[in-house]
Amino acid sequence: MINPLLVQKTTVPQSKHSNHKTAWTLTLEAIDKLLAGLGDDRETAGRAYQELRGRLTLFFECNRCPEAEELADETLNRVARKLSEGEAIDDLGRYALAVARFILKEYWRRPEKSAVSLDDSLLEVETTYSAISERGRSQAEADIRRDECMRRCLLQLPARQRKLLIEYYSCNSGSLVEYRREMAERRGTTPNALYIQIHRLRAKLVEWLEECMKKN
Amino acid sequence: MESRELPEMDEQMMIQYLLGELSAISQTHFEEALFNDPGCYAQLMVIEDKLIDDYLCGQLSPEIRSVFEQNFLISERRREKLTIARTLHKTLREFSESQPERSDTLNLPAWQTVRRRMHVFIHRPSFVLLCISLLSIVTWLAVEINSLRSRQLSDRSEVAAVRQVDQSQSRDQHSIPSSSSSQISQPSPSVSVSLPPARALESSSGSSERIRGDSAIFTHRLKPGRNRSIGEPQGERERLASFAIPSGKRAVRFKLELAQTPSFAAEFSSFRVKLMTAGGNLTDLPGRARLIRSDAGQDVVIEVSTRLLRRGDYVLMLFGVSQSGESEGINDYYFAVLSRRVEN
Repeated sequence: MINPLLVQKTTVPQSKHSNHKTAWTLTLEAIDKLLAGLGDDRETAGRAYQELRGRLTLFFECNRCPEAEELADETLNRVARKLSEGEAIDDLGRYALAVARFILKEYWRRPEKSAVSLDDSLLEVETTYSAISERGRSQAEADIRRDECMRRCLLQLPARQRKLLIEYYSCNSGSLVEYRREMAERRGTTPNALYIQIHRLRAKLVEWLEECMKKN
Repeated sequence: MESRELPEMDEQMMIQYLLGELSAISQTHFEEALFNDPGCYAQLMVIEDKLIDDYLCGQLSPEIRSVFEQNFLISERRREKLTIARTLHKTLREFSESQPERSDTLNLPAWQTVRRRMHVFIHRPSFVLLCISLLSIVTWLAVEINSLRSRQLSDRSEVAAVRQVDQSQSRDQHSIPSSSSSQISQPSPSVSVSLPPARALESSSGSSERIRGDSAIFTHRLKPGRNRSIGEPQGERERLASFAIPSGKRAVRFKLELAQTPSFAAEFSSFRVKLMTAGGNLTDLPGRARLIRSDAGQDVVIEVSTRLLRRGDYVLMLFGVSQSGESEGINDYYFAVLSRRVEN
C-alpha cells in the first residue's frame, strides 16, 4: 500500500528543481486524486504509483540525469497538481511521459547545472578535504553493516532459494550465458523465466536488506 | 555482451537504452513503449539486473564496460544497486565456499561431493567434538555388547543346567507317583538362574529364560504358593523361588502359572497384580497382565520394573477382574530377590 508519508517525503526535494511555474505544494487531496487515477483500491494504486515512479526514474537516468529520482518526483508532483486542478487525464502513463519530457528540457536548460562559480568550487574542495576521513569511516561502517545484513537476509531465504542464487551467481569463468542456459535446462525452465525468478528473489532481498539497514 | 535470451532486438534495444546509446528516434519510440506496455518496465528491470551482474562478473567488453561506468552509473539509485549487487555476489561466494550448497558440486561424482563437504566440516570445532562424542559412544557400546555376550553365554549354560534338572525331575516324577494337588499348594522350590550351574542344579522347578530380542528383560516363572508366610524363619528361604537380577535388566517378566483349569481363567475379563514387600507395602503394578498359554497350561504374564525389586522377599498377588468389575484374589506367588548382579 502506498505510504502518503513516503509520497510527501519524496516530493520535498523537488522544490530545488521547481521554478516559478511549479512552485506548488503537494496536497493530500492531490495525492488522493493521483492514486485514484492509478488504481481502484489503495493497494493497487500504491503499486502503480511505485511503478510509475520507477519508469520515470529510468526515463531520466537513460537521459543521463544524475538526479533522476528527484526529477521523477517532480513529474509526479506536476501530474498530481493537474489532476487536482480538474484536468481530465485518460492515460496517466502517457501523460506522465509527456510531463517528464518537459521537465527534462527544463533540466537541460538550467544554468546552475553547468555553471559553478570558482568560490563555490573552492569551498567544495575544502569541504571535501575535511570531510573525507569522516565520510570514509562512515562508508566503511555502512559496508560492514550491509555485509552483515546481506548475510542475515540470505539466511532468511529458504535453503532452496539460497541454493538457486548461489548456483546462478557462480560466475567464476567462461560464458555466463551458456552457464545460465544450462542451469535453466537442468531446472526444466527457460533462461528468461530463470532471470525473472532471480530478479524477484533479488528484489525481495533488497527489501529485507533495506529494512535490516534501517534497524541497525 | 552475452545476453541473447530475449528476442534479440528487444533485449539489445533494452541494453542500448539502459546505456543511453539508442538513437533519438528509437529512444522516443522505446520510451512510449516503456510507458504504455506493462511488461516493458518489468523486463527492463530484469535486464538492468543482468547488466549489473555481467559487469560484476567481467562479462562486458571493454567498450561497453566503459559506457556502463560513464552512462549507466549516472544516478545514485544505480550506484546503490551496483553496491548491493556487489555485496550479494561477495556474500554468495562466501556462502558457496562455506556451505555444501555449491553449484560446482552439482556435476561432481558423489564421492567428490562428500569429500568436499567433509573438507569444509573437519575444520570446525563442533565437528571435532561430535567425532569425540561418537567415538565415546561407540567404545561404550562395544564394551557393553561384549559384556552382554559373555553374560548371555553364562546364562545359556545355566538354563541348560536347569533344563537338565527339569528333565531329571520329570523322569523321577514318572518313576515315583506324585501326591498331585497337595504339591501344588506347597511353596515353590527356589531356582537361581544367576547362580553357577552347580547351585542351579540344587534348585528346582522354577524356570528362567531370556526372551529373544529383549535383553533388558529377565524372565522368571513362578508357581503359586499360598501356604508360605513371609514371616517364616530364614530357613524357609530355600523353599522360595529366589533369583538374583542380572545387571542391565530393566524389568523382570514374571510368568505366573495358573494352577486352575483353563475355564477358571475364562471367567475373568482381565487380571491385575499387586506386589507386596516383606514389610507389607503394596504396590499396584501398572503394566497389563496378560493371559497366555504355556506348556503347563496357562500363565499370567506381568512385567515388574527392577527398580521396585531390591534384595528381599516379595509376594505377587494375582487378581482376576470379572466383567462386572469385581476383583477376586486368585493366587499368591512368593519369591525372593537375592541380589542384583553388579557389572564387572
